[in-house]
Amino acid sequence: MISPGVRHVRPREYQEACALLHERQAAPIAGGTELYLRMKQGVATPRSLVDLTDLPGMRQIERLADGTLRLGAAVTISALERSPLVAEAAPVLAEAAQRVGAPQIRNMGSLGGNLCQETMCWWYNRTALWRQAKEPCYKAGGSLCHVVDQEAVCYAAYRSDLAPILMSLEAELIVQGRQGERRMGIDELYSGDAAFPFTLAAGELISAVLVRPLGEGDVAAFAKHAHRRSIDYPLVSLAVAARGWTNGAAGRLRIVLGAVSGMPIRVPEAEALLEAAGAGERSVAEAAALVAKHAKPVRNVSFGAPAYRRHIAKVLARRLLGDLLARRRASSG
Amino acid sequence: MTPAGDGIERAPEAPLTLRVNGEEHTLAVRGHDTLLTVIRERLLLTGTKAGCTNGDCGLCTVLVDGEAMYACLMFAARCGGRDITTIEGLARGAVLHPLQEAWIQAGATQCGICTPGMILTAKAFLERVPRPSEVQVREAISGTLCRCTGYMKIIEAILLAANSGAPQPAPAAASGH
Repeated sequence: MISPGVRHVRPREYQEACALLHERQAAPIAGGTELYLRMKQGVATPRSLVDLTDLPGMRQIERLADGTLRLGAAVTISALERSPLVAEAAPVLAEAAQRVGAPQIRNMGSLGGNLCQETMCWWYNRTALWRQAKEPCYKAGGSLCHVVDQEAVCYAAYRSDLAPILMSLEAELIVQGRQGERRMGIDELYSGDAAFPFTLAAGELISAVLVRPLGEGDVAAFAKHAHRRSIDYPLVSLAVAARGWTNGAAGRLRIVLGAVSGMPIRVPEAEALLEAAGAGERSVAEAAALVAKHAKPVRNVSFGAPAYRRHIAKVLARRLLGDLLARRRASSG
Repeated sequence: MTPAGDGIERAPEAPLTLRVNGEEHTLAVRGHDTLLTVIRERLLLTGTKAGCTNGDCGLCTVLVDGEAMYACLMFAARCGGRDITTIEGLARGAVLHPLQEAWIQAGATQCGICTPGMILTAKAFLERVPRPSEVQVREAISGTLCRCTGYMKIIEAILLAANSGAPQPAPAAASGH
């Protein structure tokens, strides 16, 4: 039940927005698709909603002087899908955007909102009555987990569709705060604790995402597995990006798993294996096995057995990494 | 409803001007009202259907500034100044919109509850992609569920409207003015 008294404010300046967000029980809103449901479930209870969409540059997509793709955080997912600038600089990002939720969700939801999507769990994201029927879990402020009870941590899953690909592209974030602006790698956004997944301080907000464009010799791909092709959150997703891959350079690979942990998971061992010169079919199988090993899905989603999700992680890895290697071989042959 | 004396601050019901099907309505909305409840319960435009009200089914789809969106997930307080089109805004008097005609011709309505959302989704889509392939149509309606599973006729109707040669109304005229 959402309080009828919830306030809506729409600041025009970052300083004002950050001051408003610093107040107790204030939540940022852009698309609101996720926040609204969390409020309805009673897992978010803000008294005021700070609309970020009118802040300067928030809805802009542009190429900076040095070629960097700058994406305002309130840019909608469909704008990413349709932007000629995105198609030119990082087509894989448009592909990933096209797999987010459903078309209507993409018309509403924002890039920043997708990145700051709260972790979720089959047990936690229910009605208040459901949660009250048992002891509160870590995510609900309690001290146990109803999904995995051996370890003293929260096992909710971070299921953003855009985070893995942006992490593989080594995107950077512009963060606004009351003390001004700072810049950080997207990997620094995550705390690793699924109960409190983000490192943003009170009063901070993401204003833009910076992506170094894919150039000649760079290759990137994204795969998502969900129950249905549309609407659903991923059960597993995988993003790979290789810079300097098909132009005879040493090549730098990033492999990132999504939806199987409280944050996107990089698999450095698999990256190193395939970066090595002369990596062949066997390395693809080995790398895929490493990816599957790093995927530690638990029973936190409905209708997605952990063993099934781990198997799918391996299948996605075999496909994407096999293709990546084939492209390097084709370019050198 | 939250009982009085609960310590929860109440914002005064802020008056808001909503432009729906080209007509302006000034009304007080509460902080938690969704566009869906305001359209159905305050403006009494019940052509927009309420289904899951959780952003899963697409029955409540309306056009906001020409884009298909779920009215059930949208706070009404954030819709001031935006152009909203509901199914009631499509026909001009007795003259149906080409998509509505195509729906009749293809027999694309079974129980009818997904029809308003489907037609509006299709309208926004055809304005962007006037001559789509079947695959594009399937993708475009993938956020709206038909629980009669009558998708074939729906896809047929959308392709029929696209190929009927009837010019799609220009986006500016399409919002129901």
